[in-house]
Amino acid sequence: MDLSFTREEEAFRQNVRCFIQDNLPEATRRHMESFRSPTRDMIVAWSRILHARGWGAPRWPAEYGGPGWGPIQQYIFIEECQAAPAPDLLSFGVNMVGPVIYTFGSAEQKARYLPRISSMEDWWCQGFSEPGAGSDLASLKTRAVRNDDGWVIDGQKTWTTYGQYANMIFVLARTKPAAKKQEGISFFLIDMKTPGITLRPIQTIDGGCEVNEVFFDNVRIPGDALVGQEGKGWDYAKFLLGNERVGIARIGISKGRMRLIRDAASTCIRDGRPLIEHARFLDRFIGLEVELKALELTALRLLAAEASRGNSGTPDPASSVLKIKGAEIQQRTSELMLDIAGTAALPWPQGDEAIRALAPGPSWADAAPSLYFNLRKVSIYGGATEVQKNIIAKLILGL
Amino acid sequence: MNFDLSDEQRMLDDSLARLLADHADFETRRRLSSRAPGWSPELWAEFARLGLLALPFDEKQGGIGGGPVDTMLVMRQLGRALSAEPFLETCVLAPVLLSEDGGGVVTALRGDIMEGRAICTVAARQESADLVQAASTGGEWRLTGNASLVPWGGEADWLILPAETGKGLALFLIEGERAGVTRRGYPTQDGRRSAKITFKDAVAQRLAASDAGGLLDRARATALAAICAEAVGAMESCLEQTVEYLRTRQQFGTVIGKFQALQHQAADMVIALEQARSMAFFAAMNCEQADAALRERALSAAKVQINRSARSIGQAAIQLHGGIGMTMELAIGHYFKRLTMIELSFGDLDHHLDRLAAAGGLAA
Repeated sequence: MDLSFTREEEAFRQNVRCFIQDNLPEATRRHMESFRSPTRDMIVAWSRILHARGWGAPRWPAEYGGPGWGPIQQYIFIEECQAAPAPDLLSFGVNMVGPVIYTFGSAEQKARYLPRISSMEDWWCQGFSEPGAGSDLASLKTRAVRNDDGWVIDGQKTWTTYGQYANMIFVLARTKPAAKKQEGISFFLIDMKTPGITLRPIQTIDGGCEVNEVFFDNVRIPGDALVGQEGKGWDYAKFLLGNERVGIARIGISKGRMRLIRDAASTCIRDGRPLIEHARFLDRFIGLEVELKALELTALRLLAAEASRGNSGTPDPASSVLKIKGAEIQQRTSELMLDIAGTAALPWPQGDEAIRALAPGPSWADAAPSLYFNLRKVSIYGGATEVQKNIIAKLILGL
Repeated sequence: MNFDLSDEQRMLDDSLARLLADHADFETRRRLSSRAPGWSPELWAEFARLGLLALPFDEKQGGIGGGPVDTMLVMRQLGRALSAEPFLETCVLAPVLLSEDGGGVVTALRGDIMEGRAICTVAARQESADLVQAASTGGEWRLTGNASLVPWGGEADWLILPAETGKGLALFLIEGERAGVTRRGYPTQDGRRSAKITFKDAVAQRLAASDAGGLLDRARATALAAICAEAVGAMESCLEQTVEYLRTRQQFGTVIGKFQALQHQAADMVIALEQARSMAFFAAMNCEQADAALRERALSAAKVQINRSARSIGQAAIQLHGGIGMTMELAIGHYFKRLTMIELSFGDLDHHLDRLAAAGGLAA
């Protein structure tokens, strides 16, 4: 057992850190440091910078254009990016559909899509949830019916993050209505420009419009849009969601945010002294630091186990622990920011700089409540906390 | 970075688990705890045969030279089995406190401990204001004062304690049966024993130590990491016992483990356990850290997490067992009691939060 990073791992970290320092656009870094979500252009520009360095798909094996890193290196890389803070790579492409394509897709699909994912030429979005299929995803109703050489899709998807920027969408649709719930589902790769697809943005309580409804009305797609075998879509979806649970804990982001919170609380004067010196605030801050350190080590233990076991393709159900705890910690960081902002959190500029200028407090004060409201989502998406607890109860405890 | 055990460590872990399964079942444990000495001398002899008692001693001093990870493995198994053997005192605290003394008495004592012939406890809980006083007359040191809450103080063959010499703190070694030493042992909540010890002009040996306070801090740090591992073992067992109960207990016509309200409480136990496990590793990684400030910060963080997890897991285990969990007849309550006493030992939650606050947090 060696509980410290090896010299090679530390050198790797240094290498990554230097690259980010030299290449992350300053405006992007400042924007991210004020607790704001990256813009479309920021995500694309940063993804292409990483791609040019060969790091556009950090978790992929070398044969598909990834750097061929082990889990610990991947972890260090993502942690450094998030701590910078740099925009995350678009998860829907590199972390979700990419691994599904290289694990289950045809040679032709691999050749066509994988390079365009890591170079960010394609912006992928997700067509899983439906109005009647949230946590109970397998009850989805969107249909795919065979037609000549292809398929016709009808139905509605929702919560499609960044659908407005996407040119590709991966979709779960029912291909065998008579089959048992999980068995009649297939996995499709669809061009967003296909006639019959329309988008409606949904405004969320933070004021943003990240998510959309996507409507499919008599959408004709080619036969080669199907991934793997017909009727196996549910298995591929489980593979996809399980893969995402480690990254979804967003440990690096929480670590970076805790650093910014410490700085902000040190300069924020409340009742005549810095907020960081107020015992109640400090207790909450320290309590969260401890939980975050524990979660970080939990993630590393999981990754180390994966590294010595070899990636079996099936996710460790312990990753549900990371998802639950990671979500809780992200949410609590945003509560601390709300505490720091105080009444300066009241104004709601919605991007209007003139209103922002009227507001008291630090320049990020209006971002704090938006982040707080926005992050309520993290215990709901990607398998809600309650669904993860069901997974733990069944797969870890055998209840 | 890897969390894999070496072949030797895996062997140690397996043989200790087997040994404890054979010798330390719950009924044996209950019988032992009802009267002094409170632990099993037969099991202690088995520990010696397994090499466990030589594990923490330096190779130059005839030991095996195990590190914090080895201690962690042993303490976790002892926690799983609810072992009451005085391993923490004799084989975690004492080896550090004796480490700088190469004199004849200490060398013989080290040998006796490794062979299983001597139990050595440590009185490390005194507030500085209540320290035993040490006076040097005619070339020998004499101790006067009280030491309270000394684990196994009534039964141990040897006792190490810090005392005030008038020129600062020093460490002393004294036999339990010495003239001038009065020991009154009593049971504790967790089925173990403690003692109040009164010294009156008792002749003791001053231990060689370049910096007695620093050595005591190092010993406490090692012990704190060890007790975190013991807590993890006890929490694992709590979870296993609870899941077993959920799988077998029937109410409303089905096993109660089918009810989601209970499943989710059990899932919360898994999360709390994983977090605690991680911080027990963190404690082991840092307990021999040379930079005292870093070391203490890391250990405080570990104990904060261990205490929080121990409390939530212990309480949930009792709740999910229902009425039967309230009885002394079932093991689960005994584990809960041990976990609760661990929470209070080596600094409670507020103490460690205060220490972290004074240091400006974990990452300061």
